Amino acid sequence: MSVAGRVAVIGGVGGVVSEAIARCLAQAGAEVVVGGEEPSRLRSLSDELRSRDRANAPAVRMVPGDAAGTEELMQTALDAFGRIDIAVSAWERHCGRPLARTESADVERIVEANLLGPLQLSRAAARVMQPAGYGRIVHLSSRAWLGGETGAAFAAAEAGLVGLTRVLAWELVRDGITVNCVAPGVVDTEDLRRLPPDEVEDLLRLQPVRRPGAPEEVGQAVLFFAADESRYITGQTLYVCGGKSALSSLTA
Amino acid sequence: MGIEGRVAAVTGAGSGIGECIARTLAEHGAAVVVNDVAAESACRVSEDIVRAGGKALAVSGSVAQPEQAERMVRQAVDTYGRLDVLVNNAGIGRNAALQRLTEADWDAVLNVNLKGVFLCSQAAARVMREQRYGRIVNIASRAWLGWYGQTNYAASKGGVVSLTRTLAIELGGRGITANCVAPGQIETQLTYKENPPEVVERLLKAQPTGSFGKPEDIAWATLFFASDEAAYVTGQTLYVCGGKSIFARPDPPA
Ligand SMILES: NC(=O)c1ccc[n+]([C@@H]2O[C@H](COP(=O)([O-])OP(=O)(O)OC[C@H]3O[C@@H](n4cnc5c(N)ncnc54)[C@H](O)[C@@H]3O)[C@@H](O)[C@H]2O)c1
Repeated sequence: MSVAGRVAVIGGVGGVVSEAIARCLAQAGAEVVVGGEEPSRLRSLSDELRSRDRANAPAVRMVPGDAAGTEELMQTALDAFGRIDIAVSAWERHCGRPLARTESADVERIVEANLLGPLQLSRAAARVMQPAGYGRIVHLSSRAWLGGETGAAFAAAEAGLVGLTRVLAWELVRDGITVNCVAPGVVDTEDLRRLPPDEVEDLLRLQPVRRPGAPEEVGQAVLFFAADESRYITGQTLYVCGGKSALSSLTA
Repeated sequence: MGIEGRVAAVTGAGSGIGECIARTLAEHGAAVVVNDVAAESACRVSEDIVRAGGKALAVSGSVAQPEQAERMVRQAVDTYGRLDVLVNNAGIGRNAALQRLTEADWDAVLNVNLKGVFLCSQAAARVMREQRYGRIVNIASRAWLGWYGQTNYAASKGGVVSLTRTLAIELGGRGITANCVAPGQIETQLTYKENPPEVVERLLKAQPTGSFGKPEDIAWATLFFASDEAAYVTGQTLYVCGGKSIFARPDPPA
């Protein structure tokens, strides 16, 4: 898939899914610039993603939703490579609690990571991409917004990303920029591995493909939207969920 | 994307989008069974692929005839030993405003566009279940969401979206995925044959990007769903429509 030679910024690296996205893009030949909160994980990913010309991938420490940190991520990419072709928001702060039992500070943290981070990233990326007349913006949302038994705050933030994707697509449709969204279902993450096996079994019963997705499978979907060839696809949300959106959400 | 060494059947591959899908899958290393009701078109595309160094076999026949759908699948297996990918692309349009739509228009469109997908999928799934591997990609249409003069066509494509979800649910445990690509307006003879120039003009105005899509855009999305990497994606409908599924300015006919 053609991302070779393209420059990608990825906000929100830290978990296995965001790291898989960064690897997929880098392996396909993109220059990758990563932003995230946790210095140690950021550093090891940056070292791993060395390219032909560089000892490591530029990395920026930033908290989601912070306008200055977002600007710094953009500026770092521009300084290193002179342009930004691809912007991926990969923040994912899960919360499966009922809203009435979620602390108000946690509600804020969920909205900051899952929605405000991507909003600021898209805004900053659009400003760089519009004059260049080319861009691929990809958001990482979640199937969870379609419905589930609990986790209303998380669902609200992830639903926000779908709305953002749809309307931003139109705002940028004549600028050669596409905006799309990948919405994973159950994925083999650190969180999933902490669950008792019978709970995982219960989760998997809700989907036609009875296994968790691999982080790379999410990465491949992001790579698909990020490719040159996806020029006529915009505003769309693709569920990478083993069919759970069809079997259990009865929608989308 | 991983499709190298796979065996694919593409229906209605004698022209337009299907032809482009067949060529694209072949370029990426799949052996392709080229089906079309127009025998000469199927032969031409298949010969072109072989001449370009690919693997292809022409099998003419209508997707709406059970024995011809069966024959396409049988020939794939007899020739290449398996069938990994089925692309249900064959489709026709008979546009007319509701009051002018005839029963024959309704039946013709539903037969090819919906019954054809059922028949080919059933025949292919028999083989894919045994293999415990399969990719079914159905070419639906953005039009299923509704558009002027397309009562029959939109309903047939809505049927395809719905059928795809049930295929995904029934076959998910067998390593078989089923997904839809829903094209917006694409530059093929279908677009120009079904629409007089003034309507083409109007359609063009309704495109958010200001342009029609190309068959390559649909082939690209089809390649993704057909690839090994898309194993965890099933039951989905992806619009390749330049954003028209998100929002369109309606411009009703006079
Ligand atoms: N062109 C568009 O704008 C557009 C938009 C949305 C969806 N689509 C869908 O894409 C698919 C391909 O369309 P296209 O634009 O390439 O059209 P096309 O007319 O160029 O090609 C369709 C092919 O299908 C073949 N065919 C027709 N009936 C058949 C049958 N019973 N059995 C086998 N083959 C048969 C035709 O001979 C033709 O070669 C169709 O399903 C169509 O509904 C097209």
